[in-house]
Amino acid sequence: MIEAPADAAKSFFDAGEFEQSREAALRGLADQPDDANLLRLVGRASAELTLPDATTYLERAVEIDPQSADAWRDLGDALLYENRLRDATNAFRQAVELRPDDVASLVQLAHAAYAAGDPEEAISHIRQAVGRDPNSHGARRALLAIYRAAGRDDDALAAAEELVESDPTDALAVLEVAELYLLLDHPVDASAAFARLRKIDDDPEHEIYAYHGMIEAEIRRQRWRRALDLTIEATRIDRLGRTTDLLAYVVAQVFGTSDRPAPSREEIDRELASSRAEHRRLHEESLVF
Amino acid sequence: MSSEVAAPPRPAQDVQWTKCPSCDAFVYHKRLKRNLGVCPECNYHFRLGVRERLAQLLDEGSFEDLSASIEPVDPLSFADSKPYSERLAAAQKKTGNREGALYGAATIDGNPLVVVIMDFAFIGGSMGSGVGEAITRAAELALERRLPLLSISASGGARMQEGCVSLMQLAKTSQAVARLHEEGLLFISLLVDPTYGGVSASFATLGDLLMSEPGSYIGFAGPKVIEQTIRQKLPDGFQTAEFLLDHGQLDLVEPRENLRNTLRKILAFHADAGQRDGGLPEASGATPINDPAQLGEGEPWEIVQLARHIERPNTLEYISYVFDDFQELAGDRLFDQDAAIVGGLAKLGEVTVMVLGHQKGHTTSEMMERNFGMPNPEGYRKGLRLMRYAAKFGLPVVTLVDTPGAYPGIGAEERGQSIAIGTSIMEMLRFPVPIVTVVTGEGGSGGGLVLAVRDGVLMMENS
Repeated sequence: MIEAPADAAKSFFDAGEFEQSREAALRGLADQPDDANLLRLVGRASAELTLPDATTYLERAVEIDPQSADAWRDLGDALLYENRLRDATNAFRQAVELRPDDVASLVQLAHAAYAAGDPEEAISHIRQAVGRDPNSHGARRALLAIYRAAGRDDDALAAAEELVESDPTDALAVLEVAELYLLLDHPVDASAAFARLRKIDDDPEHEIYAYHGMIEAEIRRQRWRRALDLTIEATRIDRLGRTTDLLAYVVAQVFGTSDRPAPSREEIDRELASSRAEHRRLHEESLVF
Repeated sequence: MSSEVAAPPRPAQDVQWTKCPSCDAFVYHKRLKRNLGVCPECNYHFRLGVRERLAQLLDEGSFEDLSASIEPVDPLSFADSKPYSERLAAAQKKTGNREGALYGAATIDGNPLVVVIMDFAFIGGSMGSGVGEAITRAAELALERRLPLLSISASGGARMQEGCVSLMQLAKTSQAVARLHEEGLLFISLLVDPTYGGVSASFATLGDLLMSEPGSYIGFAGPKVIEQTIRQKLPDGFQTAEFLLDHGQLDLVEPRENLRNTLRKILAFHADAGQRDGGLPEASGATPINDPAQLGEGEPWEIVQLARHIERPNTLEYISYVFDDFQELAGDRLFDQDAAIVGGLAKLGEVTVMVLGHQKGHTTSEMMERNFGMPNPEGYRKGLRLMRYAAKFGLPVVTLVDTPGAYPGIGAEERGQSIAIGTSIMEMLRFPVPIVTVVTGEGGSGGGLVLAVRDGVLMMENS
């Protein structure tokens, strides 16, 4: 039995064979040039293959079948590939209008809106996405990211805590909670969160960052003896010497002097912020590649 | 209008964006992946996992992983805040690999090679006994099959949890690649972000060619250690790939989008290295004169002026006229990248050659950038390094001479100008490959002689 072109195209697409998928769908289009599903399959495969005609096929698909939320979403995705943010936002808006519970489109719409320079619209859509699917970890992470980017740290903290509640082993979310507590001047909670982070982040190369966070919280609390104990512990595991300045600073606070010149508080704050940023970078990059 | 088959569904979890750590832009994952993991907004090169890296560089499906039998060991039953065995188990679960390095056979554009790659996600890419074994076995496989070796390093250094055993991997891996050098096999080392400590101080910097990507951090001691030891703020860009290139320690820094093609080109250069039967282009133009009586008589000062004329073609221009596929190689591997001497691999007809020469410029700023074609010791040492490379692989050498002489400077004397010149002249005369010299402009004093002593010396008219 000969497989229908759309079936073949879909099978190839699912298998990641985008060239074959595109060819099969194009064969189908030769007989059915107005088949919106085939047009979508060609467009999506073309987008994966970074061919410039992807949006042409997808625009044709929504023209033929303007009631298809999937077609609008595919068009939005292809426009994002091309970084056409305004057009992508419009396409996702159409998709969401047709299917308001489409969480994926809402998340895409939010990011496209944010990237296009409209953070409030972005937040509104992403909250809608989380409301539609409270179990979507991806949507919750996106909400947190957009809150943070928009400088809404209180809301970001609430979003981060919900993320941790849904997955207590999510090291990046715990790091967000810890960092946000620091930023919001709740060093006791920050200290507890960094301590939790130290336990759940299995990579030994990351342990030092959790220590630095705990030390930073104790410095904020001016609990110098505790800060000293933690700094000594951190120095023992820190083979790259990232704690030496910190040790000198804390020693100077405890004993009034240090065997090496102590850096200023501003320098220490900069180093600790840089340590947090590096830790975050390691986790964020590992989510992508 | 629509056929009945629905398009493949995609779960919400697939929808992902990443904030670029460099420019803070939200980047659509698919767009980022399409851009090979380089931020489309600011060109920041994200760190890649091993599979993504191999997929970008190697022919699809060509990698034959041979590292399955390599297991990490825990010789000290080490524990810090957690037992090492637990950390290993967690790293194995996280990466899906038994150890922090994979090796095997592969092809790049059909050119066979052996590849070993370190996984930074596996305990920071640290080198313990298992990783050292993977690198050593890769070198041995390259030796056995007489293939080039490509190593891809990303590592914080030796794996401290294995104590002295990990430290000895520096010796083991260095010796493994030494055998490749002795056997005349090509070893390309790609150092990516980050490569430090016992890895950068062993096999990873012992390649015939050292390559990296923009913005990669490479060094021995970490910047914090240095900063806190010397109590000085380090300059921006310290220990980046660009910094190393400027300081003569890398051959080339290529954007990620060019890496595969550059590797392909280098492998192709070496595929027929040492074969010199035929393949030279047809000679055209005037026949060289070797009878002094046939030379025209010009005013000496007029000829000197012509030889030094700022519009006279320079080495890079001659290379583009005469050779194909030039791949410039930089650095003396010691101190600096001297722009007054350029060199690299190229094709002369179908023959792979090493071509190098003094480089001047046509404008004042170009001249200053090239130090008016007056090399420092680093330039001569780069030239010598490239000629040694050619000798190792049996490549003919072409040198183009156009220099007023060696640079007369304090630093040049401090760093051994005389020794650099003397050593170059001595070794150049003894390399077991054909070397042809063309004086294209002027060749002043001992500094000019450095690239000009060999089998055949030609001079351009009015040079």
